[in-house]
Amino acid sequence: MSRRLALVTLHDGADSGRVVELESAAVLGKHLPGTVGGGHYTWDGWDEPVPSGFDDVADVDLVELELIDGVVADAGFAGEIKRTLLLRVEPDSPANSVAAFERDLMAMPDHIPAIVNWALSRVVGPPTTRWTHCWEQEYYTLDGLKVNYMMSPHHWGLIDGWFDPEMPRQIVDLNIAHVYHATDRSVLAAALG
Amino acid sequence: MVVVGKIHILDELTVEPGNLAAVRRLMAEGYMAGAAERGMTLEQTWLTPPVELFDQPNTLVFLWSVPDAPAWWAMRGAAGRDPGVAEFWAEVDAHCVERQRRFLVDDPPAEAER
Repeated sequence: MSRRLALVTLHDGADSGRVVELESAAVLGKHLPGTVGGGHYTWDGWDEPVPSGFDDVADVDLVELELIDGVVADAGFAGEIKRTLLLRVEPDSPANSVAAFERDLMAMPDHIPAIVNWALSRVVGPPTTRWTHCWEQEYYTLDGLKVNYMMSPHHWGLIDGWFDPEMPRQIVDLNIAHVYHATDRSVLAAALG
Repeated sequence: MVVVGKIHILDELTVEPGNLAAVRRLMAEGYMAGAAERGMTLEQTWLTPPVELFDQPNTLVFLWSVPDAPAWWAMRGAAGRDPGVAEFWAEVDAHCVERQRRFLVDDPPAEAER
């Protein structure tokens, strides 16, 4: 079973009144400062990403996800942070490296208890997408992401080697979408349930 | 959580016979200044085996440091934004049999309440 997710980007200088309308018409997670490469909102699959008539939307980067694995440790999660990482593994990467990369990502929750719920998915569509993987987590606090996750030695000392252009084992393209938003409900409990 | 202070970065460049001078020159002219700008301090450089061989590889070892994890991310972010860094290592790799980069911390690591 697959599900959909999208990154939504507004035009520069989008009309503020229309933006308010969009935010009330669609269930969008507004990206917090510090997000990189993923536009202005995450659409996590509730209803439709952008109802018709919103010309201020420049791009809806929609992906179809097929779950590799995930854990919902707290099905009653009520916030506060959902984080999404969309990435592209280089197409000429050896299959055993890709498998090791996926295993390493899925071991992160064992080393970083601040990760509450998580899912690793392959991007299986649309055919034009540039992304290959989606790595999602939910945290009780923003510090859980920005301190416990980002500053963990497991992250920078091991996982990042798959992303780092200075490391011989890099297989992930440098252009990633690292986005996060506040939420009052669990996207992953609904998706994995 | 684990609290990490100084982080060491160990580069091991196993160089094709006859290429040591070229790799030394590349590192000196193409990497040192940028590394310093990214916050890396060069602590030590070694050669092993300790004499240049003519029919077998030698390994050049560079030990760098950054003060802590935020400084590590600052280094990493700057390298990611500069396409010249990946191009530099591709040029070095053309002279090498193998290259490794490892990160090292004090052992045992300190634990702290958060």
